[in-house]
Amino acid sequence: MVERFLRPASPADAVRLRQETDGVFLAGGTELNFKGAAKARTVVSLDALGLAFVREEPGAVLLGPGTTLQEIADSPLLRSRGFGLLCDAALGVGSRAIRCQATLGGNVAANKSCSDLLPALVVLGAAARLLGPDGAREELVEKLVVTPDRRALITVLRLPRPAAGARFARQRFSRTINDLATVNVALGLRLDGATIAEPRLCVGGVAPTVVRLGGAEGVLAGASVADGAALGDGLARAVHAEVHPIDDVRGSGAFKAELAAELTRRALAGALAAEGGAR
Amino acid sequence: MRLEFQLNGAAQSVDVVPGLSAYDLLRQLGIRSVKKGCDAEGACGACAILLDGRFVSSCLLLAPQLEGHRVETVEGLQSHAGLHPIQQAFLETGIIQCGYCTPAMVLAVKSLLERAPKPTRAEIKDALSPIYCRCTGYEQIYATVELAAKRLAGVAGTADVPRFREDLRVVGKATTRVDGPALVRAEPVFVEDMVPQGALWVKVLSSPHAHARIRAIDVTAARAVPGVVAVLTHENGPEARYSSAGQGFPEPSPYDRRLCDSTVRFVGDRVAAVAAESEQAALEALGKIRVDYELLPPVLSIEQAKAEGAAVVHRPEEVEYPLPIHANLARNVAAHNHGGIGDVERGFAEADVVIEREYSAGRVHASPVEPHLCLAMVEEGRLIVHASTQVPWHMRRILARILGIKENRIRVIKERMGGGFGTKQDVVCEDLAAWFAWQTGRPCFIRLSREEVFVTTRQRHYMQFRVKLGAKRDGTLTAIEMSNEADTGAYGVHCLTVPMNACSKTLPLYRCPNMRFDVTVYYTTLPITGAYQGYGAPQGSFAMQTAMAELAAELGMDVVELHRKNMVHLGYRLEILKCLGEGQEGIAQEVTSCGLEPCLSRACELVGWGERSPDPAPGVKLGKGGCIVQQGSGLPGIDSANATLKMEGDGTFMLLLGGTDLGTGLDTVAIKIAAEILCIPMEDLSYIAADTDVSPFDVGAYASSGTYFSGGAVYRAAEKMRDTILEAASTLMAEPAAELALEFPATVRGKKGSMSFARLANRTQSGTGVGQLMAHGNFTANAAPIPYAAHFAEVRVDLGTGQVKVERFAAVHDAGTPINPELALGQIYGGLSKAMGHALYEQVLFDQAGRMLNPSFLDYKVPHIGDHPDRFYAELVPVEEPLGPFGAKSCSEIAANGAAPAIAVAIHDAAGVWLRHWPFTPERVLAALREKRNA
Repeated sequence: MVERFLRPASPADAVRLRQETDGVFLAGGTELNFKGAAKARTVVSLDALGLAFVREEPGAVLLGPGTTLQEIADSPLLRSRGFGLLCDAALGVGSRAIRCQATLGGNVAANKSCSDLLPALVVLGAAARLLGPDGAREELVEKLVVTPDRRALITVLRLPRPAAGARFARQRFSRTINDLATVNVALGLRLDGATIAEPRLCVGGVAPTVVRLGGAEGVLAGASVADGAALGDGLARAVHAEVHPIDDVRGSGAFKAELAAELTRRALAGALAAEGGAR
Repeated sequence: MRLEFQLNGAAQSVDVVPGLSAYDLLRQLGIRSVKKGCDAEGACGACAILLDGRFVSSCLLLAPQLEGHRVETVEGLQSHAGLHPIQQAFLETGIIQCGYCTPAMVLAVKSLLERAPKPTRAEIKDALSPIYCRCTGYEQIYATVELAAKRLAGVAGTADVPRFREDLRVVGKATTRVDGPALVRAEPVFVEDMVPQGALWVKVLSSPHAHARIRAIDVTAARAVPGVVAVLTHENGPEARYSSAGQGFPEPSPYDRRLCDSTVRFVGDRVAAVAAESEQAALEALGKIRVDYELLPPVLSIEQAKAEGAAVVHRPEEVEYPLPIHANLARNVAAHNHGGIGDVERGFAEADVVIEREYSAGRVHASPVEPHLCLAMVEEGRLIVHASTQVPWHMRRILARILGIKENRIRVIKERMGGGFGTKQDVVCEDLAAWFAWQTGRPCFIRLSREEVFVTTRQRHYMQFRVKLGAKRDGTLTAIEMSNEADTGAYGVHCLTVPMNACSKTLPLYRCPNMRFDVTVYYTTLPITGAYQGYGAPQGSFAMQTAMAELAAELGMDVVELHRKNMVHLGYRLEILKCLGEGQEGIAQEVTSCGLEPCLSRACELVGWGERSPDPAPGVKLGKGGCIVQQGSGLPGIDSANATLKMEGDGTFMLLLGGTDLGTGLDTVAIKIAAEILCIPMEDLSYIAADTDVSPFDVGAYASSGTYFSGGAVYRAAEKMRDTILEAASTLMAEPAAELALEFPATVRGKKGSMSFARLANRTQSGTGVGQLMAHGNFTANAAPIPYAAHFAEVRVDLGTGQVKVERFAAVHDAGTPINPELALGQIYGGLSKAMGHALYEQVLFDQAGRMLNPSFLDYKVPHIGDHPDRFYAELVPVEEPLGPFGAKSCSEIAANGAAPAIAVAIHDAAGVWLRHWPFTPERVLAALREKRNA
C-alpha cells in the first residue's frame, strides 16, 4: 500500500527522493496501479517534471519519457522524420484510455516482453538518457532491456535519424484487439542496392523480455532481396529455431514460435515493400 | 495529504490517504457515474473520467495523481433541467441497455466530438475502444455519435429506427426507454449507490482445493481482528439444503448445497465468510482463518466423473429433489433424460445419407459489467434486500428457506441492474448478505471481485454432443439423433434444464418424423455452471446447425436449400415438445407464426450468399456460412406473471409490475403496452416493478419470458382497466358501456359526450364514487410463440496464423412485433457480440488441479468494439404472432444461438476444415489445417 506520494519538481530531486525512500517512479500509472498493485510504500510522481515532449535535434528526434502513447501515435514530427514505426507501435495498444495514460518512459521501464514499443525502439536504435544517483549516462534501450536500472530516471529517449535506405516493419498478433500482444515483431534493415545490410530483428512474447534474434538476423545479413520468398522461408525457419516461448493463457509455446516465424516472414515482406524510412 | 484539483468545474481541496485510488475518491465525493467492472485492470472503461480532456480509467490512477488537473464526469454535463445533446442522443438510438457503462460511453463520445466534430467510423471505434459493453454489441454507438454530432453542430436529426405496426401509437416505435434518463444522468439507481454509512462488508474465504472435507476450522484469530462483527462457517451456518437456482417452485434442480458446507467441491467454493466494519478488516480476518482439509480426489472432467471408481461429488443423503431428474449420484450423474418421436432406426434405414459427428462447446462466462452484489438490512424485524437479480420472488423464497423464516418477512427489491444475462438468475452472494444482516441486524454489503464473478457465479455448461442425421438424396431429413453430455460442475443448478434446452431449442426447427435425444449431466469438482443467455441453445445450435451444414456438404447441397427443405412452417404441429419439458411433461403446440423464410432470404442477401469473394491476400481466405435458430417465449405451463394498474386522482396511472427488467427494456415494454391500450401518453404511467412488497408475483426474467408473460400480464391488466373505466364512465355519462370507447389522450368518448380520465378519477374516487379504479392481470399459457432467426457470417481466415476475423455478420430476426424496435435491435447486437466472443476468443481455462487460470479480463478475452465487423447488420422482419401482446414474441436470448455455427460453417467455406469445438482459436484452426494437409 502506498503511504507516501511525492511530487518533486526536478529530475534531480526525483532521483534523490527515490533513492532516499527506496520508492518507485510513477509515470502514467497503468502498470504500477494495475489491479491496485502498487506495493511500494513511496511513489515518486514524475508528473511535475515536464517530461512530455517531442522535439528535434540534429540527426535525432528526442522524446520525453512522459509523452503518452497517444501523443506518440499522433505526432506529425515523428511520422515525418521516418519514425512511423513507433507511432504505429503505440497504436498496437488497443485501448485509447491506456494510450492516453501510459507513457513511453513507463513502457520502457516496465520492460515487459509483451511491450508494443520496445521492439520498435530496439530496431530503431533508440537510446535512453538516464539520470541516476551516480550521475547521467546514455544507454541503448536494447541494453536497458537486459540490464534495467530501477534507480535511474529516464530523462530523454533519443531516436537517431534512420540512414538512407533504411526500411522498417512490424507485426503484432493478439487474441482480441485490446489484448496484450501474444507475439510482437519489429524488423529494421538497410538496403544497399539489392543487398540487405544491418538487419535488426526484435521479438516480444517469446522470452521473459523482448529479444534480438541474432541467428535470424544472420540469415538476412548480406542476403539479396531478389531471393524473395526463399529468403522469407529461411528467415522464418531461423526464427522458429531460435525462440523457445512458454505456454500460457495466450497460447502454447509451440504456437507462439510458429507465430514469431510467420510474423517475421511478413515483417520482411513489409519492410522490403516499404517506402524508405520507418513504417 | 492535501489534494487540490478541479472536479466538473469546481475547485476541490480534500484530504486523502496517498494510496487511495482516484475511483474510490470520486465515489467518496458522490460521483456515481464512475463504475467498476474489472479489478482495476483498465479493461472495462466503466470508471472513466476525462482528465484534462483525455479519456482515462480512474481505477488506474492514484488520487494524488489528480493534483492540479481537471476532472470531468457525466455529473458535470447535465443541468437539473436538461440533458446534454450527447445524453439526449443516447436516449434515442437504443444504445442504452443496462446503463452501467453508459456514463463512460457518454464521456468517450464527448471527448471524441471535441477533437473530431465529424468523426469517421474508425475514429468512433478508437474512441470507444476502452469500453467493455456486454449488452449492446456496440453497433448502435455509431448512429448515436452521428446524431449527437449533428445536434452539436446545430443540425436537426433523428435516429433511424425501423417502425412496426403503423396502426399503433407507441408499440413498435422507438421511444425513450423509461429508465433511460436516470441511467444517462448516472443517478444513484444501482445497488452500489445505496450502501449506507456503517454497512458491514462481507468477504468470502474460498477453497484452494477442488475437493476436500473440512476436518477442522479455527476462526478464533479471525474473530479477534478489530472490526470483525461476525464469522460464518459450516459449524454455525444454517443446515438447510437448497438450490441457488432461481427457478419456478418446485424446481427441477437438486437441493445439494448449504450456505457453507463441510465439504468443498471446487477451487473457489465457500469455506467461510466474514462481516466486518471495513473491507480491509474483513480481508485481514479471512487470512487468519485456519482450515484443516482432508483432500479428496478431484473430478475435473466428464470422463473422470464417469470413470469406474471416481470420487463421488455428492452423497445421496446430502441431496433432496423437489422434482425427479433421474440422478445417479454414485456415478456422478446429476440428471438424465431421453425421449423422442417416431422410429429413429427406421428413419436411418430409409436414409440415403447418414452422417454422425461429435461437437463440443467449452465453458464460457457471461461477465456482466456490474459484478454480483447485494445490500441486505433489517428494518422493523424484516429483512430488506436490495438486489441486482432477475428473480426477486424466487430469491425471497430461497432466502426464506435458508434463514428459516416466512416469505412475508422478507422484501426483495430489484434495483437497476448492470447486466445479468442469466448469471443473476441464481442466488450467488445475496444469501450471505442476507444471513449476516439477519444475524447482526446491521446493513451488510457484498460485492464480488471480477475474479470471484468468474469463479463463483455461474459459467456456461461445457457440453459434448453426438449428432446423427439421416436424409434422402433430395435432402429430406429422415431421422435426427442428438446426444448431449454436460458438465454441471460442483452443484446442480439448472443441471437438467440447460442441457435439455440444447435439444428443445434445436430439434423443433425441423419437420422430421423421427427424432431421439439423450441428455446426461455429470457432477464434477469444477466451478458451477448455470443459466446464461440462450440457456443451452447456443451449444445445441452449434452442434445441430454445424451438423446440418456437414450433411449439406455430404449431399452436395447448398445448406440454405437443406434448411428450406426441412424447416418448420406456420401451422406445423411440434409433437417433439411433449417430451422436452422442464422436469415434467412438456406441451405439444403448433407453430403459430414463422418468419424463417423471410429471415433466411434477407440474411442471404445481406452477406451476398452464393457470391464468392476473391482472396484478400495470399494465404488469407474468405468464406461464408449461415444457420437458422430459434428460442422460446417463456415456459408454458410453468411461468406466471402478474400486473396491477391503479388510476390516480388526476386520471394518470400507477403500474405495479411483477416483471424484472435487467436492462432489456421490459419496463418500457410494459409501459408501452398499457399506454397503447389505455390511450394515454407514456408519461401518464408511472410504475414500480420487481419489488416483492409492492409488485404482484412474477417468476422473473429468464427463458425469454419478459414480453410474452410479464408483458402479457400488463396487457390483460390494461384490458381490464379499460373495461373498468368504460363501466364506471357508463354510469357517470349515462350511456351504455358498449357505446363508449377510449380515445387518445386519456378520454372516454361516447355518442353523446366525452369525459376525461381526470374527471373520471375525480368522480370515482369521491365520497359518492365507486372507488379507485383498479385492475389486475395474470398471465399463464399453455403455448408460447417461437422466435426465429437466420444468422449469416462472412469470415476471413488467415492460414498462416490461424486467426479468424468476422468481416460481415447478418442476423435477421422474427421477433413478431418488436414492442421497442430500437432496444430489440440492441439486444440482438448484444447477443451476437457475446456469441462471437464465445465462438472465437472466450474460454474458461483450468490447470491440473481445477484452478481457473484466467479469471480476469486481462486473460479472459471478451470482445471490444474493434473486434466486431464493420458490416454488422441486425434486422427485424415483420411477422404477426397471434399469441403475444400486439403480436410480439421474445427477442433477446435467441441472438446468442447462431454465431458459432455460422462462423464454423464460414470457416469451412474459407479453409475447408470443420471446427467442431468452440472457441475456434487460432491454434485450433492451425491444427485443423495441419490435419487436413496431412490427411
